[in-house]
Order: sequence, then structure tokens, then C-alpha cells
Amino acid sequence: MVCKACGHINQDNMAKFCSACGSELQQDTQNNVYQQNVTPQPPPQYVPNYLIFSILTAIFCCLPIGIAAIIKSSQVDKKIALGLYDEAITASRQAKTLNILSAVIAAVFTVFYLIIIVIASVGI
Amino acid sequence: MRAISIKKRTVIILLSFAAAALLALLYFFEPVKGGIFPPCPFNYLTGLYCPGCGTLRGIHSLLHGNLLKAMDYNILMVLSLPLVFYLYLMELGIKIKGKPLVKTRPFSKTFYTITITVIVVYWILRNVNIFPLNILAP
Repeated sequence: MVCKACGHINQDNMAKFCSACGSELQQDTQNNVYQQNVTPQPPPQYVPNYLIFSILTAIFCCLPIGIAAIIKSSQVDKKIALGLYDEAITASRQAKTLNILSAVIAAVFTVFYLIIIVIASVGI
Repeated sequence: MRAISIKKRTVIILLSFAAAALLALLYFFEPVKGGIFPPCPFNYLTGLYCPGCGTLRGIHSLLHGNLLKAMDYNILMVLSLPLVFYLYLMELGIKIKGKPLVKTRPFSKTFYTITITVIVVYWILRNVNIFPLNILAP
């Protein structure tokens, strides 16, 4: 919230005193709501949504996991739009995990298939 | 501009090389004959087609300049390539330069809904063995 004495924007909305000048902050609920809705904080860091991998997974690899991954990717964007960066980071990690999981499944299947091909061509 | 992590840059470069290697393999080997390319696990187990069935054959056709044949194998794959390429440029920009080369994120909820719906509907329709739906099958 904004300090009325010096104009510093305090990140902690529940703070009693301004972190810049130390004067007492007035807990104005309306002002609080205004601050949260109209001036969202910029993202603390870039939050990837891994959408490219989610789409590749859904179409070309493992459909159910891919759909779940696209939903997680969409949640990343949704949470960023709402300013909920911690939840965006959580969704981002989940999307990443789902995509890695499907990549592992695809890799295991491919290796398994190649082994069978080799065995068949050797003729055991 | 944020500091770019070397690890992230390495990952995207390695993935790019892996994709290029796969494309080279697909250019020289024909997946129709099987060989080194695995069949679709879903198709192998159930006999039904998944949304990705025909992708390897389709990309092989595309690399040899046969767009129509590629669309016959998997039209969704062909149509999704521009989107995939666009997202790739976005990721590449973020990981190499620290900012997107192309910018639209965050995508809207409608975009995600359409994406999921298209994939699922395509998956169902290509398994219906009635003309004209059966041309969607690979």
C-alpha cells in the first residue's frame, strides 16, 4: 500500500509502518483493493508455461498426460494474469513434471522397441 | 534484462539439435517401412488411432515437399506446425536473449479451451470409419 507521508509503495499490504520513511500507514481497505486490482506487481521472474512441450505431448506422445499438461500450462497464464506468482510457479513445475514424465515414457518405449528390432534382426 | 541461466540455454540448444537430428533421420528413412521407427504404442495396443498417428510418415512427406500427402497422413500435425514453430521462437528468444522474440503471452482461456477441444475432437473423429471422416485416418 502507498504511504501517505512519502508516497513509497509498500509491498506488504498488512504493514503497519512505511518501510521507506517509517511513518504509520493507514489501513484503507478501499485503497488496498484498488492497489491490488489496478496496479499488479510485475512478475518477480519469468514463469515458463511449457506450452510447446504440452502441445507436443498431447498430439504426438501421450494424450491424457498431454491434456493435463496443457491445463497446467493454461493455469500458469491464468495465475500470472491474476498476479498469483507463487501459484503460477507451482503450476509451471507441474506442467514441467508431466512433460518430462511423458518424454520418459516415450523414450522407454522407443528403446524397448529398438531392442526388440535388434533381437529380431540378429535372429535369436 | 534478467540474467540468462546457462543451463536453460544449454537445454534449449540440445533440444534443438535433437529435433534437427530427428528431422534428418526422418528425411533419409521412410517410416512407412517401419524399420528403426517405432509404431504408435496406443495404435499397437488398441488398434485405434491417436491424434499423433501418421506424424512420422507425414513429416517424411513434408521434408520431401509433399504437403498433400502429409495432410493425408495427419492434417492436425501439419496445421499445428505453425503454432509449434511460433512457441519455439518464443522459448528460443527467452532462453537465448532473455526476452521473447514474439510476444503474446499470457494466452487467453479461450485459446487453451480451443486447443484441447480440437485435439480431443480430432482424436474421436479420425476413428470413425464413415466417409468423409475416415479420410482423417492416417
